Amino acid sequence: MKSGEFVNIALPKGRLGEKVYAMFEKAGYACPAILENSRRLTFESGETGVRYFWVKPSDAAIYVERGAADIGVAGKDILLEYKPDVYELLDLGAGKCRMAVAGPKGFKDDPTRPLRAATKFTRIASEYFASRGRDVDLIHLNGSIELAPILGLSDVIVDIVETGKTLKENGLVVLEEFLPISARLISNKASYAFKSVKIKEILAALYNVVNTEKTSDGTKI
Amino acid sequence: MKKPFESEERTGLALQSLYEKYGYQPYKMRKFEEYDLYAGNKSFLISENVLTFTDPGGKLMALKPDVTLSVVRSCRQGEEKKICYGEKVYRPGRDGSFKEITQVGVENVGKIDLYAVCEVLSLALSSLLFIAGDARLCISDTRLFSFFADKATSNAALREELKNAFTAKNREEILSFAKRGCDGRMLDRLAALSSLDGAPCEVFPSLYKLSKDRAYVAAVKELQTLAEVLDSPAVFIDASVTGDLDYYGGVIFRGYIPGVGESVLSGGQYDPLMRKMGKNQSALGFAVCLDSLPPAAPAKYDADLLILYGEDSDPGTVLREVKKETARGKTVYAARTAPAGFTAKSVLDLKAKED
Repeated sequence: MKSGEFVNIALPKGRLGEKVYAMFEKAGYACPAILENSRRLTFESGETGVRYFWVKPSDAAIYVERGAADIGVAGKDILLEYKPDVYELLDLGAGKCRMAVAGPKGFKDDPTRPLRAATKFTRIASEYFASRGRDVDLIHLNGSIELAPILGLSDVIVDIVETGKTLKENGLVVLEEFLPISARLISNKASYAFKSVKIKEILAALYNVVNTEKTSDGTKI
Repeated sequence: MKKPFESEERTGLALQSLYEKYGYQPYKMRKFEEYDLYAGNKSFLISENVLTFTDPGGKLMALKPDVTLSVVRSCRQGEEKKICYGEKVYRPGRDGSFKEITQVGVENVGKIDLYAVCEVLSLALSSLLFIAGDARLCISDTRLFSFFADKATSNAALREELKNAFTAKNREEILSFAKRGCDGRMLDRLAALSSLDGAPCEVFPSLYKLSKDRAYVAAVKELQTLAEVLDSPAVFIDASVTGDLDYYGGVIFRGYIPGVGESVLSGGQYDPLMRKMGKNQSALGFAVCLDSLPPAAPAKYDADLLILYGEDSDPGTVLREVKKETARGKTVYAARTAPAGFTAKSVLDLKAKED
């Protein structure tokens, strides 16, 4: 198979990536070498015509938007925060969590002054508070967001909550959940035009896997 | 067929020359526009950010982010014209900092019939094929989305959000608008419509199945005629292509070439913009962004011939030698010494000859 005919797939490193790869495998796009413990970054399967590579989860959308990857998997949080110009083809249902406002237990909002909110997701937070008509002072942090209200840097935080364990350990509680998050299959627009047949095949196969999983979970389709 | 990319400048000149062959008159923007022109049409622009400055008279002026608005403004009421241009425009890049972008394009203003649309689409296709040898011209018509979206909801803000989900082919999000009061049956059609793309012969049967309404069928028929006239494997019908509906109405298209992850060409019919600017003509056009093309393959040598001359060389003799070689089609670099790292296919050392 010529290199140009491969569909390049950007997968997010880590637990979510492994879960998502398992879905691709189930869909018929296996590449066993990817599970070997090696330092390689790209993995090809000539038989199925796909080439996988692991990228930092927040970078997957960039690889796809710029066409370095034809398709990829990115969290809805990343898609809403960076608004890449890509097709969002399928909700894979993996990596489910929520975007939430969290703060100290018993926190009472003072509407007479701007709410200080620390977050990695400034666009999502800004759009959320704007939709509520709440004046806000957003503080962009790159990590350890939970620290901000503890040290008085912010009143609340806006962050992803999966189990709520980290919040609890830091004396914080969810004040409001406002956005369900899950992993999405995305495609570069130019790649989609040139490799539409192959990408549609992958999409259809993944669609079946997602729906089979939903059914076996007992979730209503 | 993959062909090596030419430089931005050569591509721009070649494309303009192609457009001129079809009667498109060269257009040059020699003046700065007032900022108000762009401020009043922000959503027509690719980015709302415009570089501004104050002129000596105190007016707020702008470095042009776009050419179409100036063309429309320069048109007299009822005037018909076909123009082509190669201009620098100023827009923020992905990193947010302003960039100078070379853009070439055409605008056809006047009575736009099906031939006029075919001609513009054909020029768009030829432009893409000239640049890369292979291409995809993804064509749709804004009326397809509007037909179902207008029936799905009368709320303009919701329709705008719906359009974003539609252009992203985001089936699940389109269907989720049912929870926000949109008509579920129309959302089903929009979800189906957004996923319709591919070669014309594959797409049209499904497009016709979505509605029997006369206006909808007429729009699909027009699209089919365009695809049949263009008759090229590079033509794709992609119903998810839309634009800002306050400005675009009718055919709309994006062009892609291999190896470039974003569209290099975009265009469409923009009668609503004409109305907004008080003109009663129809108009359509497209622009090719040359800065998104990959860099031209570097030449193997800096020059075909390096001519070295001495301190006492006769300038007339050196110049005659240079002209003789350039007349043979060679690129020539004449100097007393070669710059560091300079490479040439061959060297002519006049100094050695003189000695």
